[in-house]
Amino acid sequence: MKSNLFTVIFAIVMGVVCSLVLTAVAEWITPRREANEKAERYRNVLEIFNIAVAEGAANQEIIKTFEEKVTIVGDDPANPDYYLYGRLIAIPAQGPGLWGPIEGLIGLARDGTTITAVSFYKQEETPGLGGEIAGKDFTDRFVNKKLFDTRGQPALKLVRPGRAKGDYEVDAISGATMTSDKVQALITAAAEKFKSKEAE
Amino acid sequence: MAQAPVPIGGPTAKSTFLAGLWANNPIFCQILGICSALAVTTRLENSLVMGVALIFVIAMSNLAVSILRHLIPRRIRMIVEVAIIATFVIVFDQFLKGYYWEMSKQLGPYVGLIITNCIVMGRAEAYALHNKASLSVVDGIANGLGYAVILAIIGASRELIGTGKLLGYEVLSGNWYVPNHFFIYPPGAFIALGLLIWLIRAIKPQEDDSSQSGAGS
Repeated sequence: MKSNLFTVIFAIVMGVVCSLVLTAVAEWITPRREANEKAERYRNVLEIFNIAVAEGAANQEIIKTFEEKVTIVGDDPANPDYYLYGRLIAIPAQGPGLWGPIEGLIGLARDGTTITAVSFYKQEETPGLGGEIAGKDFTDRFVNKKLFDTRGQPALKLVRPGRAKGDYEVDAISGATMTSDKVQALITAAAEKFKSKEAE
Repeated sequence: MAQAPVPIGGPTAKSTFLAGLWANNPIFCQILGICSALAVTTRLENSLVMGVALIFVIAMSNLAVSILRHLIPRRIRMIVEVAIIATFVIVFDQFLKGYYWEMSKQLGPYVGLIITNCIVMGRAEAYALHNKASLSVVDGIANGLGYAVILAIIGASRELIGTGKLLGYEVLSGNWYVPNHFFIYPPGAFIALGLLIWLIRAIKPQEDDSSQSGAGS
C-alpha cells in the first residue's frame, strides 16, 4: 500500500497534467470553433433572407457574404435585436421547448409584419412529433401570415391543426400540443421584443 | 497489487486482438456501450466517426493507464482512470468542434458521453491495469474496433432501410423503394441491434452464457 502522501501528490500531479493538456487543446481549437459557430449563425440568417450559400461553403465565404449584405441591429453582435437585408427583417426567436431550448428566426417583409420565412434551426423536441417544427412542412405554413395586427400588437396564433384561416392563424402540429404552446410563446415574445427595440 | 488471472503463457497480441474483436466483443458479448450504439447509428457516417472516437479514446486511455499502472495508488485508481479518459474524450470532442463541425453537431452530446461508456473504463480496469503498454494499446484498438464494426453495421442498415442512402448517396432508387423511416427513429435502433446480436449469437459458439450477464450504458 502506498503512503497517503504519495497518493495526494499523485492526484495533484495527475490533475495538473490533465488540465495542462486540456488548456493546450482549448487554445488550439477555440479560434476555429468560434469561427464555425459564427459562420453557422450567419448561414441561418442568410437562409432566412433567401440569400444563396453553397452547401459546403467555407466559413470565410459565408462570413464575407453576410457582412456584405446583412446589417446587424443591436448592441451585442453575438445576440442582436434583429437583422436587416435591405428592408427585409429577420428576428431571432428563442425560448424553452419541451425538452430543451428552441432557437429560430422569423423573416419579415418590408411592411414589417408579413412573414416571408421561418426556421427553427436548434431544437430537441420529440422526434416525429414536436421535432417536426424544424421541417419544411411546418415552417412553410407561416409564409404570408402576419405577425402583427393592424394596431401593431403580436397577433399570430397557432391553432388546432386544420382550423387555420385568415392572416393570423397557423396550423399547429397534431400530437405536439406542448411543443406548439412553447413555439407560440417564443414567437409572441420575439414579436414583442422586436416591437420594443424597433421603437427605440 | 492484485493480479488478474492470466491465461497460460500470458496474453499475446494476437489473442488480445481477437478477443476484443470477436470472442469477447464489447457489444454483443459484454452488452456494453449500448446507449451510444442505439443513439448515433441513424447514419453510417455518424457511426464511423463514433467508432473512430472510441478506438482513439480506448487506445490512448489504455496506454496511459498501462504506463502508470505501477504508480497509480490503488485507492484512487478509478478516479485517475476517469480523469485520463475524460481528458482524451474532451480532446477528441474539441477536435471535432474545430475541424468537423457538422459531424460534431449531429453527434451532439454522445462524444462527450464516451466518458461514461462502460467499455472504456472496463478495459482500463480489466486489462490495462494488469498488462504491459504495447498489449494494452492492442486491446484498446481491438475493443474499439469491435465496437466500431458493430456500429457501422447497424448504421449502414438503418441508413439504407430508413432513407435508401449510404453515406448520403442514393443506393436504393426512389422509383421502387419506399424508405422505411421507422428505422431512423429510436425504436428502429432497438430492432436493428437486437436482430444483429441475435444473429451473431446464433453463429458464434456459446462458451458460458451464465457468466455473461450485466448491462451497461
